[in-house]
Amino acid sequence: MENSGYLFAAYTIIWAVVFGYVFFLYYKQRKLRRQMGLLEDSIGKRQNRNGSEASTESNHGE
Amino acid sequence: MDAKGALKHYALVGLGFALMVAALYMVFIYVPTDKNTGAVQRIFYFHVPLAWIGFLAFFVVFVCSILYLTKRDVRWDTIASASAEVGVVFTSLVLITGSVWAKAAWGIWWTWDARLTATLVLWFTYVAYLLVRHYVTEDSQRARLSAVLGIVGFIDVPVVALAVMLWRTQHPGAIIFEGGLVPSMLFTLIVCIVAFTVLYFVLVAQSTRLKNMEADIRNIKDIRMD
Repeated sequence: MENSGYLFAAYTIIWAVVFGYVFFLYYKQRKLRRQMGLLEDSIGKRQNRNGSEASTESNHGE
Repeated sequence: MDAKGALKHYALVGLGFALMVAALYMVFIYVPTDKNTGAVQRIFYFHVPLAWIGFLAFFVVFVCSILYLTKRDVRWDTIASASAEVGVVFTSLVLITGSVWAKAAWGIWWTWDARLTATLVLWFTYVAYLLVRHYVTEDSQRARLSAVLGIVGFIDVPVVALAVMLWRTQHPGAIIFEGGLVPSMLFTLIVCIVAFTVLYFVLVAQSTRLKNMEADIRNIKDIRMD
């Protein structure tokens, strides 16, 4: 087939760019999920600390 | 994402995948080789859908930007931003595949033809849109500025679409509307357009979801800092 090198190049570039973009979205999603997990952990820890401080204070009050 | 949303997302991804496999089968096996330009003409079946979906993406940016400026609802700004991102990816591919085709058909990678130049201007406009979004840090200012750019930038879309009719260009004319394709070629092109439309919606939905997640994280961090 004449010019099939150009055809191959065009389709290779299309799929490389599409997969590159999909990978970029996947990588971003993983990063955001990790950040969300860290935030949830730190909020959970803070709530636990506040809860235990509140219960200590109420015990002292009694 | 809730269970119903996830099901819809995977159904759309599955449909897109099936359509893309069908499109590739039709492009490389089903459709006959063009007598004049040979195998390289097969680039056309992905080049044209990429261009059309680029137009669709920028039309969505245009509509969402108007809706943002009138309603000041941040959801429209998020969709516009996701659509612009996908539009720039697709338009980049239009320029690259067009250039590869031009080298094979005309013997040159690029010429300052009206349609090619207008497409390049369109690409620069929406790259500028993405840069504005990246560098302006204040949320409402970023949304307002990019909405204006999204509306103004859309003026170039009809120029690109009509360039082959308005000026004498080296770029092939509107062969689809002039009935220059045999039925099997037209059918293949339609399948490719549908496949890329589904891909566009999958990518915009996913990008929008990530931008919402990013905004949520930013808001939580702001609340914690307060």
